[in-house]
Amino acid sequence: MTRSKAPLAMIELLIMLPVLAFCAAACLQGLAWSANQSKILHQKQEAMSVAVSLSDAVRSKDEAAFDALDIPAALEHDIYDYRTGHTGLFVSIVHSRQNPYLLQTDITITDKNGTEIYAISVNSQY
Amino acid sequence: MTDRRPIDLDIPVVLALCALLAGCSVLILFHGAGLYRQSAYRDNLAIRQQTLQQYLDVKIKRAGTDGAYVAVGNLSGEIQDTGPVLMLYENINDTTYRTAIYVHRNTLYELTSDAGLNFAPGDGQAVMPLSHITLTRTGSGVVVNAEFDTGDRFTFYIASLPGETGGGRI
Repeated sequence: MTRSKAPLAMIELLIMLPVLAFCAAACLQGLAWSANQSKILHQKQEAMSVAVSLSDAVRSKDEAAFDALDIPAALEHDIYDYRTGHTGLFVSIVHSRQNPYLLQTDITITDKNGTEIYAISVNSQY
Repeated sequence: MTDRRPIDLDIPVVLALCALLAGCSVLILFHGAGLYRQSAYRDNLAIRQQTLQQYLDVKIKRAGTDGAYVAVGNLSGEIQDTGPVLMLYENINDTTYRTAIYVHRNTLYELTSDAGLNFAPGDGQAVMPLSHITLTRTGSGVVVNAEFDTGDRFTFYIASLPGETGGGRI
């Protein structure tokens, strides 16, 4: 009489399921981590682009550029916080006079939680 | 008493487990592929944005030296405040050359020629894929509004080097 091999296969599958679950969890965690890293990198790149544009606008004192970037009147305020329309990033611009001729502008880009993504300091003639 | 044969559940259970295993594997595969696609899309977009910004930044900043200047205009070569063509003029051996950077059929082109010559869309060197570009002249720079073939928009500002402003040109 031949005995069914099904119970043996079932035991094998029951062992395989937790192994698969473990491997799947590890794979998904790895993928989620890399996706998150890519998101952070992209956000950093966007923040850098905004900061570079703003530093150019501050240095050249080009008010029209601020308007075009949806960050109006940033040259007139000492401290300016603004959420950029394009990226959802928050921009903080702080002007501080170093001496009668030199103006330092600190541009900080943060995410919605206030975590700093990118910061740049620009010196320009006052 | 009736002699009943016991129902063998082993095979259906094994098959169900096999199906569960296969289903989970496919689900993980799809989820992973989705994450990878998202990540690749973002990376690709970031590279394109960076390439475009750096490419135009180098062109505009370089044009601020040695009497060269930057203007914005249309495909006919007319200088305007807002337009689809970035024009970089430079003078070499008493001849004015114009480098026009514009979009034609989802591609960004660069063409350097004698400033007096007209050009047809598609002339020049293809630089990168881009759907649309609008340039706006400001006090001392250019605001660039670009749209990629994915529909993503990208706005940035580039100031030219100081000392090259005024005269209706940047």
